[in-house]
Amino acid sequence: MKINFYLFILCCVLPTFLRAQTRVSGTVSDGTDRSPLPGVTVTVVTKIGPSTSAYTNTDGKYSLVLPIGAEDLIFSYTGMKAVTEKIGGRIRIDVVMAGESNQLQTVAITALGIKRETRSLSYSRQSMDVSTLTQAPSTNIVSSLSGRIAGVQITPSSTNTGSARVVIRGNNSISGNNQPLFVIDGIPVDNEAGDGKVTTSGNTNLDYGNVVGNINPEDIENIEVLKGPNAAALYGSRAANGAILITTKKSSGKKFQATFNSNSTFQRITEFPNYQDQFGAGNSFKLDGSGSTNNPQKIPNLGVFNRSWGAPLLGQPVISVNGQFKDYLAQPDNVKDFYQTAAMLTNSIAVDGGNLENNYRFSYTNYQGGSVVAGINKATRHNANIRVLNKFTKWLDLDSKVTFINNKVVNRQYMNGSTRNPVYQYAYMVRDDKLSEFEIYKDAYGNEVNTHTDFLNPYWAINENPNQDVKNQLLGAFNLNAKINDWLKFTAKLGTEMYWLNGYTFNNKGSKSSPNGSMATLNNNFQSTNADAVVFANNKIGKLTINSFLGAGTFRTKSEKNDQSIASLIQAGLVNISNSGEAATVNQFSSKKIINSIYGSTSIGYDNYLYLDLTARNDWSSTLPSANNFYFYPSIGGSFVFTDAFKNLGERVKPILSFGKLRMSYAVVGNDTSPYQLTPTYSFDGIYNGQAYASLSSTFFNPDLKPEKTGSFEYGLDLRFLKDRISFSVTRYNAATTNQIVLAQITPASGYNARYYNAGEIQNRGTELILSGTPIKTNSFTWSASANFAKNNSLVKSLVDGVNSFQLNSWFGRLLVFAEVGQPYGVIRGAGWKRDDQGRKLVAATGLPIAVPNQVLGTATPDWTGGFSNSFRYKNFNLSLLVDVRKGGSFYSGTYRRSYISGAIDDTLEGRADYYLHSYIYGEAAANLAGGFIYRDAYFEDGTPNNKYVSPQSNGFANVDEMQIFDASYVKLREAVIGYDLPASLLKRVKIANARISLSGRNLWTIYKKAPKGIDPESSVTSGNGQGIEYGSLPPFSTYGLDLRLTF
Amino acid sequence: MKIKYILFLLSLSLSMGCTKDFEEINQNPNNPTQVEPDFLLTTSIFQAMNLYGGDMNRVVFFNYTQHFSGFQGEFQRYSFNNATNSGYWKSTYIGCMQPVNQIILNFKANSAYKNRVLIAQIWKDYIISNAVSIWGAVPTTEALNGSPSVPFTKEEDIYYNLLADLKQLASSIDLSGDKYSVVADKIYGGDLLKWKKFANTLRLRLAMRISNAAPNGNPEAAKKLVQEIFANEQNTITVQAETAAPVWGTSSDTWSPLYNYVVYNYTANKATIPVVNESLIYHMAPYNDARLAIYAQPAKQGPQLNKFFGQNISYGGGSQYASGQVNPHTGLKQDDYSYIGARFLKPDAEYVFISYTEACFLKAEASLKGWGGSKSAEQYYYEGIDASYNRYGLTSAQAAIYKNTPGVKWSSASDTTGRSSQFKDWLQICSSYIAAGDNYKQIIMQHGYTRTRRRCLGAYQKEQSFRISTTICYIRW
Repeated sequence: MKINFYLFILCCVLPTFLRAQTRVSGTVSDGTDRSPLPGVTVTVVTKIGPSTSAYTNTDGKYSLVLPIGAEDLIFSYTGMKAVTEKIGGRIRIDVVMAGESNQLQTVAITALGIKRETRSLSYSRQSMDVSTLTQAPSTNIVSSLSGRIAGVQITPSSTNTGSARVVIRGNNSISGNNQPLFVIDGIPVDNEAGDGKVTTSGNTNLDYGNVVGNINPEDIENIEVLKGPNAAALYGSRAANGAILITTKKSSGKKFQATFNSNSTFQRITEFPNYQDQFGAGNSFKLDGSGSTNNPQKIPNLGVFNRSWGAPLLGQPVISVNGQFKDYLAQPDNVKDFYQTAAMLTNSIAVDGGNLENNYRFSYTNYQGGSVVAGINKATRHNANIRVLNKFTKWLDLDSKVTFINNKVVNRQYMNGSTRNPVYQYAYMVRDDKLSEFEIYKDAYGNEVNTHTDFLNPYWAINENPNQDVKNQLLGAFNLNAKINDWLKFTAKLGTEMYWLNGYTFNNKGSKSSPNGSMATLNNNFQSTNADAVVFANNKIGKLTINSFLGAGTFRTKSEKNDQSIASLIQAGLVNISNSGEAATVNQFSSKKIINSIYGSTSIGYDNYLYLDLTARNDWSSTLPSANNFYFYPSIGGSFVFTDAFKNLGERVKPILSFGKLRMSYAVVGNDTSPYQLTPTYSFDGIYNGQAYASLSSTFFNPDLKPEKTGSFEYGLDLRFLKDRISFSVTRYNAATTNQIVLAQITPASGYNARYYNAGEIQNRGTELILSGTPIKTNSFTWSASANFAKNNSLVKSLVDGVNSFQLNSWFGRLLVFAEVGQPYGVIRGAGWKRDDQGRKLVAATGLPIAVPNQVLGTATPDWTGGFSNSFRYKNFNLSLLVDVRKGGSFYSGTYRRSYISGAIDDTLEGRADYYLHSYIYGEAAANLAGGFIYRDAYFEDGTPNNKYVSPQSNGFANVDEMQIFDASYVKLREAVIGYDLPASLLKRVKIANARISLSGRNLWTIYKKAPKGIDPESSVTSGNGQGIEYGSLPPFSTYGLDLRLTF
Repeated sequence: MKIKYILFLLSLSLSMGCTKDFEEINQNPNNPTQVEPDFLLTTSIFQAMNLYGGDMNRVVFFNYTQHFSGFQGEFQRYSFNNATNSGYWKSTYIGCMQPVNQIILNFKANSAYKNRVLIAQIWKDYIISNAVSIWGAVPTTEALNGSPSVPFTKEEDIYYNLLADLKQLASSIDLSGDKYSVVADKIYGGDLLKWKKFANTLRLRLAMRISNAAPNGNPEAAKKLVQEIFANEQNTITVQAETAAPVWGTSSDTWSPLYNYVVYNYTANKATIPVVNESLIYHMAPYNDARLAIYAQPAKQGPQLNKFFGQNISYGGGSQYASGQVNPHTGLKQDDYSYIGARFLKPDAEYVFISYTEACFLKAEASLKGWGGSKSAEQYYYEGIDASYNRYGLTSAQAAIYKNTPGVKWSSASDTTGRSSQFKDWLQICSSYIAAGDNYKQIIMQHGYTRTRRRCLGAYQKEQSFRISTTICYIRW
């Protein structure tokens, strides 16, 4: 009955000379990636039954003396299928073991890439199911984590080429980085967000995408998430927010094999706002005013209006935005028609081969991506990856990997409220505009035409603001392993990451917003190197196993950011920085940082059920003052497998409770800061009439900065039932970051905008639950499911003395996101609706809402997040579904505000026709209206119900930010994949080993949300700390894909 | 095997040894840690021009004085916007004051920089004098040192402190000592005597500001101060060339904010282009003031083509009045009104901090109070009108005609024959009617025509709502 679909076994048997023997030895490795398996029990079986046994060491080696009459060796390891080998006179027996099921991982990759049995770990861990990563790809690898891991919260990138945010167990830092460290094949990589300069109002800066966004899903073998200091302490300073370990594929070490994968996905907007189609361009129900009837015929000219507060659309003759006569009629699809279906094509080929000891894998992937807005975000990416394993001698091997990524994006979309962001422009397009009226976007002199006052021509935005950037990225990882003796091993690691980003942005002459045009070029380069040397010692004394290591490392990073910009073009359309009407502004910023470290760890296991883990690390950072630049931080943890501890009891409960473990851990991680934060400097800001001028940095630097510390305590329980068919895990944690290096905003009267402090504390407490299992498993049908839940409560406990709040983001200064004492991180403040004692909304005598400034309107962080994934397999078909849930938290929708104030959406129809009737047809005075817009659930301050009708156009909506705050909860069908493996019999004839075809969908269905129609509650203006604001984002979209995978 | 141990230990010690260079590594290679005063004074002057002559000027001062019209936004509607106000506050302290404060801090102890430090102090005092007139009590003595909580100084004390400080500074300038380079000192090209006069004239301005009766002033103190200044009158601004009026540049990062808004970004700002307000025109037209053609351009289109035609402050209003009269402003665009004079719309327009004209009217006012002066109030008054006409390139013949106009002519009354409606008062702030012998109003009105008005509100007004309008008196084109 128990047929395992994921099982494959390969045994390598090296025949040797036959002779009398007393000792047998060999290596046990993991079938999935050929890495050595430590802790495997090797039992000798004689005719009379089991006899002596031994464990494999960290290199997966074992050696034991054979008793008389030895016949078989049984290799057993929890979660792996036991292997029985006939000794048959061999002295060397190497074994490859395979997992019993993909559900249950018993060996996990831990910090520094060390493989450990999960039973010995003192903290919670979770690896991601990567099986659908290539079939249902998202445009940013970070987005693929959404809903899969308990406690991991994702803010997806706003565009296909933008930056995504990932936060594990809440935000720890007030003003610093809150995203985890990314580690690829043991080498920490830089994941700087590419939207650092993009503001909410949408300036002229672009989102260049976060660095790891370019990682090729095709090469990923495993993603392991280390949630916070407890798991990641050994990565040091940079892992205070946890770490995401990505392991890339290696050769299977079997034989030559080639895999071809072709994936095509298509993106479409699936939900638009409900636009109103009754009133067109104009103001106060009229088409005159502001010079709109300034022509001899007195026909209203709509070019002067940018809002849909005009007259009823009845086909009146008007002059459209392009100066042509037209009938004043609704264009119900004018926004829809603007968007297209985007295509993303990924083709990859991978070849691998060699043998167990010397092998290679090479892969190449080509990606072409588009955007739902024609003409922007055209991406081309080439990923080439080579990985080689060489075993030089018995005791020395080298694992090398080099990845090269070339990523080119043409016409990145301007973000948020930028006038160059066509998505933003379209959110409030006047209801009678035809797209064709904008098609001619420039006149014979090259100037932008066909605009409604500040509603600029979207086609100008798309076509006359070209930009392009190319990023070449090189990642190298080299791991040299030397076996010194049976219990001592030495590893040297060298990892390097480099990238070069070159690009330009060009804004042609003649635009309304910048008549002279502008241009900028940028050249950034970055290099970071990690070098580590580690000695591992593994001993076994009786029932005690002691695995220790001691290492030293250095991390060096160097970056250089240069940009050149010109604010005036001579010739239109010439994309060259020399095309400059005045002197260029040049910026150069180079920075350097070094962290040196020593670290070590000991983990002591007793009889495979009791474990104690100790780690310690000391860092020296160049960014801190010499008196405070070294900092030590330890961790301690333990785990207790009680089902194995009480053997008698264990045997009785094991048919039901097959595994049970308690774990507990406390860890501290120290953190430094960015370079050059200690001494004040001046900068030269420009030249004014022949004189250069300089200013002091507006940040008050602190020469006495100390390292900040994050302490985290966690404990949990892992249970597995019914022969591991069901597993359950619960974790509680309590983390606090103290002594934070905070860049606090201070009063400008101090002469500075902000000052560095060592102060403040944020506490994050939470619970994580994971339940997974295989409810049905038969020969032809399997159903496995996994659910996760995480609740994080954050609390800003203190900030700097005299500073009660720290601003994280703002929407034009009126809606602010804060880290504020006594509140959760990311509290949203703005003008709220005044309420009486009974909580009823109050209106003034005019019937307009009374706004109270600076009210807490919500929190950007969710109450809880969760995911529920299911996969079904029936014969050659499989289906997997992932549902992603977010409960609670709020966001401010600037788009909704704008489209409401513009009268574009159907929410603005409330009382509108009625008001028109009473005010303009009946001519009732404003003070005595008998019809119109009314806040029905509101009261006057004296407690009487509101009975005042007002104009829907001036109903006070804009003054009460609360009306633009929405619950950010959602339930989404995040991913659905249906696949079919072609039968082997069919493939044999065409010499294909495996063929699989699958259909996929991402974000197919928003099952539940509270945000207004056409607005995605996941949207955010930034991938930085200032979450909770949406502005000019794409309406919700879905991705559909077709994937073909062939292995030869 | 041993070699590996040694290698390991070696790398360990190497990595530890490196921390010695850490301080060097953490030296910022991109920015200097010290700069000469020249670079900082320029910043401060340039920032002050952009603050007082920028957005604040357009949307607050000239809106409130009804010189300009055509706005959108909270401040512009006499409301208040925290973010905008914070922006002004930020520019005042960080943009304008901090650079000169750095000169004072870094070079105070160095006698080779004596005069430059003094001028930095004078300039800082000038910025504070504007800040106090805008906001009242503001942080002064403990400001600019990076402290998160800064105490405010009482408004009265700020005035007394500034007056005492400026006296000391003006007298300490060593006319044969060190100076700023011609190109760095955008106001006086390094001329030490002019800075001395600037400081003394600023004293006169501040003294006159506190000349109102208590609680809005301290006439006794003001009188003493003015007499002191008059005793040394040759060290106040006495000629046109001493007007503190730097010019903006012609490149996009240095041109005038008004040019940027009105001319360069004309198409983008079409709906809110500031045009001349009708109040200004109604005040100047009855006197045939030749400066009207400087301040305003005739309408280039619309119903009042080629005439001086100002926009009403209520931006149009309803299309019909109750009596059935048609509102002449209905349906008009900004382009249908008089644009601001070309002189002020140039990219490299000037910004006047203190003018010779103002100095004359301040003296006229002081002299009228009988507080001294080498000339009579009448002489100072006419000198001021001449100075203003001269400043705007008008002839002395034009000035002579103007000076002889009823109401402008010293002690004469406005000629209201057949046009009394043109002199109708509006909340006692808008009428330009002059009664016979009302010399005080004549002086104040001239202040208004040289871009100041209602300076009679004086210092330390207790009502915040008047605060901004008070400022207008002291900040001009």
